[in-house]
Amino acid sequence: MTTTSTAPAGDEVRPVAVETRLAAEIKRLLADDQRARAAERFGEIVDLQQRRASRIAYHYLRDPAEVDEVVQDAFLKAFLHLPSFREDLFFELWFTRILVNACLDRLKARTRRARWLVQSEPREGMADTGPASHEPSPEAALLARERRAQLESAVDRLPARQRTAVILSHFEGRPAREVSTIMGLNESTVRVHLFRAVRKLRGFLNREGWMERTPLGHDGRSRRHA
Amino acid sequence: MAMNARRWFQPWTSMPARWAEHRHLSDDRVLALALSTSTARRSDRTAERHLDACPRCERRYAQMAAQLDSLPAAASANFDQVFTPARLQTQRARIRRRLDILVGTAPAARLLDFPFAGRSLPRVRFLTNRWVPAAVAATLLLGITAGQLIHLHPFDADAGRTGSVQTGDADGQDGATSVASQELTSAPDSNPVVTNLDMTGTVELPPLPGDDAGPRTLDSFARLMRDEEFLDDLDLALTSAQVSELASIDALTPRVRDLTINIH
Repeated sequence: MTTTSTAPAGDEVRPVAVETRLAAEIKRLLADDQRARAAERFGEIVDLQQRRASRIAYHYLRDPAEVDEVVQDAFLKAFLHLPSFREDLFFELWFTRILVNACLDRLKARTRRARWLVQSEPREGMADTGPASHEPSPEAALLARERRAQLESAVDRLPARQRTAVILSHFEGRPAREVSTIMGLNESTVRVHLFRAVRKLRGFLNREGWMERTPLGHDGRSRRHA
Repeated sequence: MAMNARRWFQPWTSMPARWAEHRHLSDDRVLALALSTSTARRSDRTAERHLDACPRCERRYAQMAAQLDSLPAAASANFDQVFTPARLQTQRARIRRRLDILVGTAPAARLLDFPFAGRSLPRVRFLTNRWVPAAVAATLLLGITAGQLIHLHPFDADAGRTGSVQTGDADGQDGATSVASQELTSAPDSNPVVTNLDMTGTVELPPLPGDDAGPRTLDSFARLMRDEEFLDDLDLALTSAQVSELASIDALTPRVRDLTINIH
């Protein structure tokens, strides 16, 4: 892994090593029993990672309230386990692993609850009812919402590993090597999971006519290479 | 000669590669190209060459790449609208608050009195109220113990008939040397059968009705019972010959009645 990493579109490019350096410093502070100072420094990590963590959790959960809880819990868990953090690992990957596991646990709990509870109306801010004030027209907003709902439904139908692969690698733009570190799998295994996930996604979305409605804003020559 | 042969075979040996270049790419291969997940560089190069030469596959590739590129944008389309800067700020404040509570720099949340905030509720004094569960437990224990004792030694209201056990010499002298005695409880409607036997001595039984000889020993009682049993068997043998159903069997066996008569 390089010392810098490109964040997904919309986020600024920043060195990955910042969080790792901060984490190592916090680890030393905790070892010296300077807990208040460690918590203060950990706030800087929160500032750096919070948005990305919320976005990843939102891909899994789609409920803002649950995303808030999961992100808070993941940060606290990371702080509590910082003494066991290995400095040769990257903090971002270590923390993402904690976050993804927390999201998967939350999804399991939700599935268990769903067996006993009647489905209620979606809460405010849920994916199906997102505001669309920036859309050009109500019809376009409705179509965009429908497309998003279909895509989210298709992602939800993927197995956990394939979902993690497609979220981290394709949605978040993480390199396969980093995703393999986060998931604890070989890089080639991650590629296989990603390929199968996207193939399934295409199958699900093709059945609903999602792919045919995709605008062709591609010049056709900008092929990506491994 | 060899040169001519190589020249003759060359088109045939290179045909599979050329066919591969001219075959249309499968969906999976186009998808792998779009995802950049193909690990076989040679097949990638072959596919690249085919894409350069085949407008149809090039168009499929462009469409698939556009579809894949639209996925991340569609997946996080409303993230910015849901997670506004204000919401993220609130979340950040909560995280810091929980961190402060964790390290002890901020007081933990306190419980408000309910229902009257101005008047404190009486505090439960667990130490002084421990005797209540302790008394309940002790009572329960006593009850269980008493129940077990009653079950093992049932109380008999009609236990008026008692027998005294007398131990003596093994040669059967009735009550000659009484070592110890104890009261025995017997069932109200049962015969005076001893429930506790002494293996070394004799057991003194209450006198039978109309018997003035005093208490009998167990040995004499057993002898008496054996005599009675023998007489009963004898009566049965004498009377069973009159049963018609058993006549055929009786004809095959020695006649007990005759034997009895002969004995007498």
